[in-house]
Amino acid sequence: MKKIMHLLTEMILLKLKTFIPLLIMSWIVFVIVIMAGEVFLSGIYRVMVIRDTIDIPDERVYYLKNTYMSESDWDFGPRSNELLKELEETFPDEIEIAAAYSMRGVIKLPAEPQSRGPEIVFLNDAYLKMCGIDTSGYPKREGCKTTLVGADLKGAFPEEYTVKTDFGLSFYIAASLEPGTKLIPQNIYSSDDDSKPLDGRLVVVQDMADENSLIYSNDIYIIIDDTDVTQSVLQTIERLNAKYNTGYAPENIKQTYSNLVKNCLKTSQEKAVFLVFSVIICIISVTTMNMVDILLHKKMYGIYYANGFTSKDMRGAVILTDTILFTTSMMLAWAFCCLRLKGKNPVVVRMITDIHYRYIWTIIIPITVICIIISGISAALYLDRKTPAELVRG
Amino acid sequence: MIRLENICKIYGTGEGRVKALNGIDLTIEKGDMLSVMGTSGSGKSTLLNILGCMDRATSGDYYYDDVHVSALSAAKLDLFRKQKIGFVFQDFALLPNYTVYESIEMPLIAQNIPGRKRRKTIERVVERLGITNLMDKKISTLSGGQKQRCAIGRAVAKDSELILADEPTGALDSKNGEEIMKLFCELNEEGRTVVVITHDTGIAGYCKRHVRIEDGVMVTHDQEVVVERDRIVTVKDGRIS
Ligand SMILES: Nc1ncnc2c1ncn2[C@@H]1O[C@H](COP(=O)(O)OP(=O)(O)OP(=O)(O)O)[C@@H](O)[C@H]1O
Ligand SMILES: [Mg+2]
Repeated sequence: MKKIMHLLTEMILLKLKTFIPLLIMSWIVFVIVIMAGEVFLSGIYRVMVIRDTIDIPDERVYYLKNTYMSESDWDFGPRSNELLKELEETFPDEIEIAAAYSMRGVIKLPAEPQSRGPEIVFLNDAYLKMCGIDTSGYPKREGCKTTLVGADLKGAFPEEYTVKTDFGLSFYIAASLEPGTKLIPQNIYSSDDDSKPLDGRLVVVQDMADENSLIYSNDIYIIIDDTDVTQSVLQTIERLNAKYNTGYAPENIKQTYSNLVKNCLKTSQEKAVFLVFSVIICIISVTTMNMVDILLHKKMYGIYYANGFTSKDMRGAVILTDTILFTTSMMLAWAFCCLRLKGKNPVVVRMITDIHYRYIWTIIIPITVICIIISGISAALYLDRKTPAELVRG
Repeated sequence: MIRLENICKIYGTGEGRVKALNGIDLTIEKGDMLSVMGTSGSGKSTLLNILGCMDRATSGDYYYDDVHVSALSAAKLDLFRKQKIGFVFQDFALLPNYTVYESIEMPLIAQNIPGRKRRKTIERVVERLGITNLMDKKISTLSGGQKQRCAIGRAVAKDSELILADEPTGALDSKNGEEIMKLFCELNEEGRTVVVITHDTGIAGYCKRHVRIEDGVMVTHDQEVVVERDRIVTVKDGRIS
């Protein structure tokens, strides 16, 4: 071990000339891979969050899929509220209505309609919690895990940011802030494509005079605590659909989730391809760089061999050097990607940090390990094939 | 101690094939001091590389004591080389950014010799070679002769049974060359087996036995004149008479 440590320090010192360029090059490669991962994972972030936050047995949770499409029906929200209210009243103890897993945000109107400037309201406890925002102080709609978040989030979203959406979360922005004013669809942007306006039907802005009035969220979940009533809940929803003209289609969360995954993957296909591509390029380039480095230092290895170091010593030292090299460049790449977040809005920071955390463990560290193993093996194979005389000759 | 039987070494394949050694038979006894002479390109370095386990013969057998060296696995050969061989390369094979001290230290580290003992050994060696003042100098700043002495120092620092030197005096003036040969003689008297490649008959004169290689074949010269420490002797059947 002592011997290997000696070799290691010597090799790093000796390699210093190429160690630094090698470090920089693998750093660049790792930055690219991490960024590719960010892009891809932010696309499927919604899926990841849902997967992680839903801890209720799947068969009890139904998602109210909205099949009702009408861009000009600005009454949809209130009708939907009525439906939910009646549903809750019909099954006061058996069901729970939650928007906890909703990924939607809606606009809250300021107390004085004249003072313009949009504030964003999230209807998502789970998400807010994830963002580290304590929701306990905010008013909740009874029987609903919905939280209204008001002015406290002001400033968390810089003006220009509110116009855009990001990371699979749709933030709905009101253009006009008169109570009850309808949204202008052009100002609402899709999560996948900043330039493509979402249709405005999903959002209904209501008068906030009544604290408890539901701000409509498109993602409504019904948790059926007493599974004996499942059928009658579903039938009731069907009946209420007809009554309120809402067109909800309850669907088990399992199905929803798998659909969501499918859709997310479909829309993130190019990103996924890019990610896979960058991972492959990363492994190939990093290991090739390492091999080139070994070839450049052929003579040095030969001299070590000739002077009594065994191929076992050399292999250990090569693998250790690579471990240090690749781990350092990976960490530096990660650090760089974190530094890039400086000054960005805290919610985005949290999200990306969360993505990093998952991504580093599941993809980047395995990639690093693979690079180390491949580099170690290829170096060992190369060195074992050569005699000291051949290596010393350079 | 060492027995080479029908050793052949072929470099390259096809058009560029070079038969560097062509059926060498050689026996070296323990405590021998052998000079290998021959014209440039005759295969001397190739032979020494094989003796020093720096390279493998294409065919033929190499026995060291009871060990069939040519049949050893790569890992075993590594260990064998580490334990038995001190080697001086023709082009020194020193790392330019090492100091003299670090260069000589290298084989001692490979043998896991503790730090203080290493220092003592190295100090003794550099003193013997007259390069104490160069100890902390970088190889890249040394002259050819100084490098040569450093390379020799590295080869003799560890307690190896066999010392192989490829033209160890090539870069030295005759006075320094003789100093080096005296050192080899001392090492030989201490019981180490020494093989020296040289072009210089005067240098060869310090050795007990002499062989000559021509075009990869050993040629035994009945009458060869060597200058041994300022007196002329003749060599018969590889032995000084
Ligand atoms: N790596 C190699 N690849 C191909 N041919 C080689 C190689 N090494 C040596 N040779 C050839 O083998 C022959 C013997 O070379 P070697 O180095 O043993 O000669 P030498 O007797 O040491 O010569 P010198 O006195 O010039 O050092 C030469 O013809 C040389 O060109
Ligand atoms: Mg030679």
